Amino acid sequence: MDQRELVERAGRGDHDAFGLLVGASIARLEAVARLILRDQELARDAVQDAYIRAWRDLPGLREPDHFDAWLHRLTVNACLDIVRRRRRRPIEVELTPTSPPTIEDETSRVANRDQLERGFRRLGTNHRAVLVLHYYVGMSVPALAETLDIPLGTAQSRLGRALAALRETMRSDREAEPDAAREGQIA
Amino acid sequence: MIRIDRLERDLTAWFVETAVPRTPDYTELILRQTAGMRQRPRWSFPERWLPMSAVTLGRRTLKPLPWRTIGLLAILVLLLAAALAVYVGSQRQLPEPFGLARNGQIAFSRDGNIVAVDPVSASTVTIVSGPELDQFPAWSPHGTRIAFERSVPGGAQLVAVNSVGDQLMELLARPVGAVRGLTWSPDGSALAFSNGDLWVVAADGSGGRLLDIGFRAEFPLWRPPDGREILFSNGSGPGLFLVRRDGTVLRPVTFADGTFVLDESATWTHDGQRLVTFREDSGQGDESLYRIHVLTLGPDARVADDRVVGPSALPCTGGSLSPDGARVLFAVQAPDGAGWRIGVIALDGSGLLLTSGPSFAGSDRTCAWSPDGTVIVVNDLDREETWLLDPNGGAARPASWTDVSGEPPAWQRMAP
Repeated sequence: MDQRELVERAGRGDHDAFGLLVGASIARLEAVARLILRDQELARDAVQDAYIRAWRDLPGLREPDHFDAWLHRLTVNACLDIVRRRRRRPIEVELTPTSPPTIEDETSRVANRDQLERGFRRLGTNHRAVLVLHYYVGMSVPALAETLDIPLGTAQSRLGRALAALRETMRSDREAEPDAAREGQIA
Repeated sequence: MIRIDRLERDLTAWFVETAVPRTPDYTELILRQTAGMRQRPRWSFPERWLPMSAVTLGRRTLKPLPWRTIGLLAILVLLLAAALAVYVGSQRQLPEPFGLARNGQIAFSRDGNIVAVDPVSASTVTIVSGPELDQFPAWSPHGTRIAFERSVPGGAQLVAVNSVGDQLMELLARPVGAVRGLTWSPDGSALAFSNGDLWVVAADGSGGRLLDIGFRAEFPLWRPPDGREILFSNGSGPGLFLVRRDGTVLRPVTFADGTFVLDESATWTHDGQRLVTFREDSGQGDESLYRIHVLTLGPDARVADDRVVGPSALPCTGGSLSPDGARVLFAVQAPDGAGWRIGVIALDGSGLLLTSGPSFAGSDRTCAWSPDGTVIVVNDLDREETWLLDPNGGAARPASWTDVSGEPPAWQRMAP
């Protein structure tokens, strides 16, 4: 049974079909949520919210072929909602590495990963989402626009601004490192 | 260290390294949650009814709605609306039952209907009309309602309406013989009238009661400031009497020697401690011997002080005390002996003034102060004319309307 048929059956209330769709997509969605939110527990909440919304609203999905994009949209929106809710409650989000790295060149990889980690966590949620969908999920810019429900031009410019912001934060990070090292030597 | 031109490639690699897809342990939980959950019915999605092009076009061309901003704006609008409501509400303040107030309409009966005239614009509106005979209107102290007598089969009914004639309410359970001397309590919660017996009636329609006086009672007048007592005239004999609004503690108003106070046109001062009366003491009934007496009452309803104020004077039906409580109006024989003029004088006897304007031919007239104290309206029932006099000596002018009802003029009090 292909995905389209599963989506159509799930949209008619077939929960078994929905279970198969969940099983086929949850690992990828959970990873997306972890990357955007940089928090295991928050990612779990976002994924749960997204699937609950998906089950409830599946009968309204007119294009079964767009199921993946739609599911990603629900996930990203769930991530954004969680961040908004946490902004209202002044709780510090703990940003921790989510998977152990598998590295070829250990020294340079660790340095690169730390810089990326620091730069990425400083980005806004919208920028993190667009980078994850494009560079991790592999969405094209048109697919990005459809998934995020934004105009094509907006998707293009948001992706560009997200990359530029990441470059800037990493550059600032690099410039700050020698100062910190010098301070350490003086001390 | 990352080279910037490799950023996109390294970013992809870092994503892959740090977020290895794995099936989370809460998958079953999600399925259990959704298994017990109903899906939205298909028809409830607008996308099912709109063309896809319209749905996607709208999404692609319109910016996402800033719901947070909209919410804040909505709250702001609600707050402004609430403030406006409070402001508007504050503009509808009610006047105090005593003291100066803004002039409203003058109500009187005409052809069996209750009409009201705006003294400024001279426009007349019909408040209550119909086949019934309605008369003797009286504005409530707050100027929001009018009570009047309606002739009905079997007698008369006491009826009240709001200021535009709506919300008509019969205040008596059954008709009575007549509704005369109608007067509102200071707080507007009750009315008193006489039909030989003395009645106190709730203004909300919850009922009325006949006070057990034991003799004929006429011309009731609530005692300020709280209206706990009612002053009335003995219709069977001499004297003024006080009775509590519940019909208890009946007592005469007497002089120190125990003799009765004789008067049918007494007026309370606002503090309820003094009575303005018109009296001639000779017993001869000579109009030229009537004088204004300001009586101060003691706690036992005895006259503690009797002060004569001004010249020979007769009362004018409709009330004599100015709304500020400082002056009294009276009718006095014109200097040339041809008719009567209207004069005013302060309660302490100062400031005697004869208003300009015509001499009124006969003794049949009704008068009233305007709520703001700047005008005295006089209805000359013999000549069928209505005049507006200036109590401060200015020119008099004929009114554009004529009230020949013979009723005490009812001038609506409005909040300043």
